[in-house]
Amino acid sequence: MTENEAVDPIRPEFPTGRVKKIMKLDKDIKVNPEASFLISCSTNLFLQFLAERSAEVAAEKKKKTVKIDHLRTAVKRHRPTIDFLLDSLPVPAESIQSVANSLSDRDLSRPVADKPAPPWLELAA
Amino acid sequence: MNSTRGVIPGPWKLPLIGNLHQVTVSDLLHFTLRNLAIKHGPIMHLQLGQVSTVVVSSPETAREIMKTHDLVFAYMPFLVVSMITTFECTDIAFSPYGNYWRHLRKICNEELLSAAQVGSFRSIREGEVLDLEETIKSNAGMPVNLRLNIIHGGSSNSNNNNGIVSTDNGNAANSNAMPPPCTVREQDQYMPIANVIRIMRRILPTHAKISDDAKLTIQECVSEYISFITGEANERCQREQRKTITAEDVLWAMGKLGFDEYVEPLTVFLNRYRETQNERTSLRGEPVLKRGMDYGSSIMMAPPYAPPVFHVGHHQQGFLDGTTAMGGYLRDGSGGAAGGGSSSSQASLTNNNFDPFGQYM
Repeated sequence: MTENEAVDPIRPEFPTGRVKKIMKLDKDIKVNPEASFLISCSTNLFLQFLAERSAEVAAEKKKKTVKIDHLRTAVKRHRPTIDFLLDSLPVPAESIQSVANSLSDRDLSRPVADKPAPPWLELAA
Repeated sequence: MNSTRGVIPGPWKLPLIGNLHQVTVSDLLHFTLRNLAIKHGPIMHLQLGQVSTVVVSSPETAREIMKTHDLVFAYMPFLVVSMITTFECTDIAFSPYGNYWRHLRKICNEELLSAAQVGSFRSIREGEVLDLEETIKSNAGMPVNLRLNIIHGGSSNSNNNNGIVSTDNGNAANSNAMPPPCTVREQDQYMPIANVIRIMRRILPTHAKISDDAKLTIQECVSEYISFITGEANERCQREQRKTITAEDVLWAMGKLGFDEYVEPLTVFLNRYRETQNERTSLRGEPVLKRGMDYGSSIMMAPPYAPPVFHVGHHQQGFLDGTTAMGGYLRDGSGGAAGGGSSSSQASLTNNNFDPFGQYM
């Protein structure tokens, strides 16, 4: 984690107001300006980290475009990040499709197979 | 079994009950399963009545299921009981992993588990714990099944509101008004996408592209990160009965959550930031020494009596003191006493000081 030489870290890349607003999403919080400055800087570091790792994964798979699966794999490789981020990543469409397919299989518990697809499958799109 | 996918080995199955008779033979299910696995392998199939079950018994296979193909297996089975009791698996415990579930989770976090809401249930928690203590006390000398007590709560008090469903203030989670569906992205919850993309482009190789949904997802990840760190820092604040999150809380949270490699660079940024703030206030003529004293206790590295201020990189080491503040900061400014002049006047003062952070030079 080297310091970002190209940009003056005193003027962080993210708008201060927005950082404060996001921090305050959980209503009762009061934040001192130094704290929001630090959060802003550390978010910058984290974003760079995510970008770097995702790009690595994309390169490993010989793809030019970084996609969500690359991001997902990158997240899985870093333990502290898995703990809070993995479940927030959207599930890729293919695996939802495979569950939808498996629902119509007779192998799973029989009562389900006869029913029409539950509502949440629509929302999965 | 669908023959195109290959057959998972398993013990021979009786009609109707399948392998139920083998699995219920002893109370120690884990022993039973282990013995079956020794015979049939690290991945085996059991038919438990109507429910088709696959049992995995080795670390390698477990890794395949839980890490490599985690998305395929991240679903609760759609059993009859859960379908009936949870309205066709639409609740957060049984709905499949995907956007709908994430939506539910978001509602839970925002409405049920926000700091204010959790605080509002405090009296209920305290009441339940007291009831639990009573139960344990009244069963002194005999074993107590804690799990039943925790799930079903205190039984003696019939007026006891059962859990979270109804609370006395009007903020109950299942109040009559349905929360508005979050189909529109609330842009205020995220960093501006332009900033996010700009920072990413600086890191990515020149020819690389980012898919649009990856951009949106990363934008969400950024906000998740902020909430994550803030939440932890806030908890520490509350534990110490303080109302405002400070820089030190943030640094502590970083370390605790596994981002300790950020702590060093962040400390450097913080010091520079404080310098810049001091520049502004000292030019206004405020007493800087008083501020310095606050820093002494809050930065983990600074000595308690005077705040050394470190210029990392090409500036010389500075020493901040109420009386010499003006001299020090004229280096870039109008006075001819820039650079050499001011530093020599400070040189004598720096002898009293030490430099714990020479490594940052």
